[in-house]
This record gives sequence, C-alpha cells and structure tokens, in this order.
Amino acid sequence: MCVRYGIVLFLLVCFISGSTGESKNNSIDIFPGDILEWKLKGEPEVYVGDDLFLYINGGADIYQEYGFKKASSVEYEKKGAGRISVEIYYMDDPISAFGIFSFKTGGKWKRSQNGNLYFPEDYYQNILAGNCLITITSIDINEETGKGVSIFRNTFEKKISGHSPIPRIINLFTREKFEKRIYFEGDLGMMNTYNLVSAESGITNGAAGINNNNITLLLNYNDGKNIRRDYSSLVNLLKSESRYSEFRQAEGGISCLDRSKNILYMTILNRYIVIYIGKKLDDGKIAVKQISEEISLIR
Amino acid sequence: MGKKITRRSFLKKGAVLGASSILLYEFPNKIYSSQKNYPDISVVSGTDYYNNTINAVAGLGGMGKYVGKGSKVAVLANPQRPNPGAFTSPIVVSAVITMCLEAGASSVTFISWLPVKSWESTGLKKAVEKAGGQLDIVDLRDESCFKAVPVPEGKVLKEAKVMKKLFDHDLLINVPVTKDHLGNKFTGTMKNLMGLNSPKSNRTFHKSDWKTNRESIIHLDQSIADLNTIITPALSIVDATEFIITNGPFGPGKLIKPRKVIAGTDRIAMDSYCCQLWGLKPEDIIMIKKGFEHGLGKMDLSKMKISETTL
Repeated sequence: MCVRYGIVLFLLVCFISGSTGESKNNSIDIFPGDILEWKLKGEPEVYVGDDLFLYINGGADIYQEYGFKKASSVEYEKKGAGRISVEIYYMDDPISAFGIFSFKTGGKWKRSQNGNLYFPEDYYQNILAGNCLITITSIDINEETGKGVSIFRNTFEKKISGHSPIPRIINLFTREKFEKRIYFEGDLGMMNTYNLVSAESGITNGAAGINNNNITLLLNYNDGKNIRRDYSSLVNLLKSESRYSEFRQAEGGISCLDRSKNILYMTILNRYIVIYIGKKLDDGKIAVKQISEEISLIR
Repeated sequence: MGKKITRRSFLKKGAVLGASSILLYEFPNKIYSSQKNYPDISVVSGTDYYNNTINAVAGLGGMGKYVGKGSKVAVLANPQRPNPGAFTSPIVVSAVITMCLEAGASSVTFISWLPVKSWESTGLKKAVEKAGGQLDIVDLRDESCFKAVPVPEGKVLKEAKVMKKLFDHDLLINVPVTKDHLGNKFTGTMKNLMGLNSPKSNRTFHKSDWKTNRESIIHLDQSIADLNTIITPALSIVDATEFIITNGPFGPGKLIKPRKVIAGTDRIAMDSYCCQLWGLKPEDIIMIKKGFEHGLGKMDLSKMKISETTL
C-alpha cells in the first residue's frame, strides 16, 4: 500500500516538475557538455535563495520580489570567437517567471517554434520556459557569438520546456494597442517602469502597457476588495508629493501633471486602478476605454 | 606634496587611535575643496578611452595633484560581471594605473572582495597586471577582513564594515562604471563604495526580509549616502564609455556608448551629471538626494563648473 502511494507521489512530483519547466534535469545537469564547437568552461555555479545576493549583489532584489528559488550559470567558449554565458533562473511558479521575463525584456516577446516566449536583443536573448527564465549573452560581442546565442536558445529550449501562461492582467493590454507589456509584483518593478509614489504604494500586483512612450498602469489592490478606499489613498499619496501639481476632476477620475509635464489620468476600472501617464488626456481616455472593453469581454 | 605625506601619517595615526573613520571622513575635503580654479567635474569624450581618461584627469590639474611621490594608492573598480557595459573598462583602469605610477606612486592596488574570477572574466586582472598595478582580494565571507567603523552622521547606517586593506593606503581612487541599477535606478560614484564595505554589512542596506517596497528602497539609498559620509575618495574617475541602461547592475541590458570619462572629487556632482546621460534627473534619484542632504556635494547641474572636451 505504502509502496503504491510512494509511486503515485513520485509520479506526481515528476509530473509537477515537468509541467513547470524544471523538467528533465536538475539545475546542474541541464547544461549540456559542449555545444557544437562551443566548449563548456568550468563547472556551473548554483545559487539558492539569499545566495543570489552573492552572485548579482543589488541586482538580486528584483528577482526576490518576483519570487526567486534558484539560479545556475555557466560560460561556453569557442576558440577565435569568444564567450557566451547561460544563466537559468528558477522562479516560484510560471507567473513569477513571466514577471521577471517581462521585466527583463522591457515588456516585449515573441513565441518561438518550440512554443516558448523569448525576445532577441542585439547581443543577448531572454527565454521563458515554464517557471524558468533563461538568459543567453554574448560576453564578447561579435557575429560568431551572435549566431551562437541563437543556437544556444534552440538547445536550451529543448532541454527546458513547460507551459508559460500569461497573467490575466497582462491580457487586458491587447498586443495591437500596447507594444510593451510588463507584469510586476511589487513597488520595485513598478518603480522601474514609472516612479509613481515615494511612499509604499501597497499594490498586490500590477501591469504596465506602453505605447509610444505613453504608459498605462493597471494596479491591483487585494483583488479590488476595497477599491474605492485604495483609490482615495493613492490620490492622497500623489497629492502629498511636490512633484505632482494641477489636480483636476477628469472624466470619471482625476488628472494631474508630473514634473516632466506628463498628464496623469487615473480612475477605477472594475477591480483595478488605472493610471495613464502621457502627453494627451485624450490618449489616456482611449487607453482606459480599450482596457474597459477587454475587461467586459473577459466577463 | 607635504600635505599628501601628512595625509598618510594622519590616517595611520588615526588608525592607531581607533579614530580612522573620522579622519577618513574629514581629510580629503580639507585638501581638495579649495581648488577654485578647476572645474567641479572634467568630462572628456572620444573613441580613445585611454586618452579620455588621461585628459579628464588633466582637466582637474593632473594626477600629481592627488598622488604624492611614494604614496600607496588604493583603487576601487567595478568588476561585477563580464556582461558588456556592466564593469569598469580595462582601458580606463590601465590609464589610471599609468597616471598614478607616473605621478610617483609606490604602488597602485585594486582592493576588492569580489572573487578573482570576476577580475579574470572581465579582463581587468590582465589589464591591472600589465599596467603595473596589483590586485588584492579578500574573502568576501571572512568578516575579519573588515574593520568596524562608526558612521557618526548616519541616518540609518550606524556602523560600516570597511575593508581593512584600505587603511594600509594613503588615498583611494574610485573608478566605477556608471549604469542602470534596478534598485536605485542608477549607480555611479556613491554606490560603488559598497565595494569597500563587507557583503554582510551591505546586506543590511537591503532590508532583511527582502521586501522591495518603497521603505526598503529608501533604506538602501540612505544607507549608501550614509556610507559615503565616512569614506571620501581623493578622486573619482567614472567610466561612462559604454554601459547598460536597462537590467542593471548585472545586465545584459540595453547598451549605450556615450564614450565619456568623467573625473572629479564631488561625487554628488558627478552622479548628477552621469544620470542625465540617459535621461534621468538627479532629483529623482533618491541616493543622490540623500547624499546632497548630507552636504556631500552639488546636485544642481546649472550651478556646477563642468569642463567638457571632445577629442
């Protein structure tokens, strides 16, 4: 009986692990030996929990905010070409992984042939696979390492797979209307998108949709349980800051100006507080309308 | 020259008396703040980063103003990660060593608690050794390598743990790379000094529960500003040649190439200048404001004397 339960439990653990991206191997074994002409340099390094601070110092904070578990990294080298590094960050769950992925890509992504999300930059790529964020970087920037990064992406996508759901709040920003979409789980993520308040905002999580340098924030406070109270608190916080001025009533909400003369237009949409930051109030109203339509579709 | 020798014996005497924190805090400003004829910061742009560095320091009157004959120079560079734009350029570092040695320094030592692997993978170890400098690395987990130093003006940081090796030197030259930092929005001269403080102490800058709310962010920035009240580099030389403006401090991130080297003694002025290189405003960087509130320097760019040269 006990053996049978043990087998069931083992299979269950294997299934869960496989479905979240930690998958086929543990963090060390996941690194293949050499990849074509690229030679593995040394042993992979592994950092668990708070040890991430020793690896990336202050850079660790944002990973912790999203829910960090473990990281491993290694370098490969090809003679005459240079080095490529591979870092794998294991997060608490696929939503946490999506969060840090969207943060690191600045809210841009594509879907690969393997079904994962990724975004290629000029010398590096971030890939989201289940609860893993994989960052592949040309340490020495040149054509060879650039090609190598793409080869590596294919290799690691095959090694690590898993479903990568997009958080519901992100889908309220349609891809056609918002070129960049970032998910955050705390003030640090939000601050790096727009430095809204100097005090603690108290958000549970949120998202930013960015289009033509206009930012629209969707903020979630305890699933909207006291949304009017939280809205009033946030307005009061903004009013207490010297960088905001010219507060006015505006179509179902309030508007003001920040120090860079951006218009902030904020209102309540369903269980979210929505804040548009941009140059034209009308653009803000359009953004709010678009999100409102998405919310009604989901209902 | 006399002043520079005095400075060394002053520091040693202070260490014996256990009052080195006060001396570290006081001595550099007394010597350098009276140089009215030179700019607050000297900026040189161009594709030759070595010459940019040499000329940026020349714009302040030359390295000989800071480094006396026979002096032992400690240098703090940033070898954090070999990702492009995330570490101090080896070329800038080479120029700093050459200038110090030409000024008559008896030794130029890069002190660090970051592992030798970081120095090797960034190419900094090779550059330091080739230019005639030395690398002196302490074990980051060994707290006995760090000296407890009170922070009398600290608002949240009351005691720092400064690398003991610093006290074996006559002066400190701070050579950070400026770049994005997702915790502070920005890193430059002030933030780099965390490289002299023990990792365990630095960990207290980030609140122990790992929360990243505003209170914790302000705590981090205030801690950095507090640390800067007890350590004043004789000179700071900022590598703003190529650096990341997203996903800092570790990268990889968006790389920009202003190709500038900035030299000066006013860290607040230098950080205020550097942050606007990618569109940030000094008044929006909490760390800079906190440093300004400590009276560490000027924040208003319009009130600074800035020398800018393109080679």
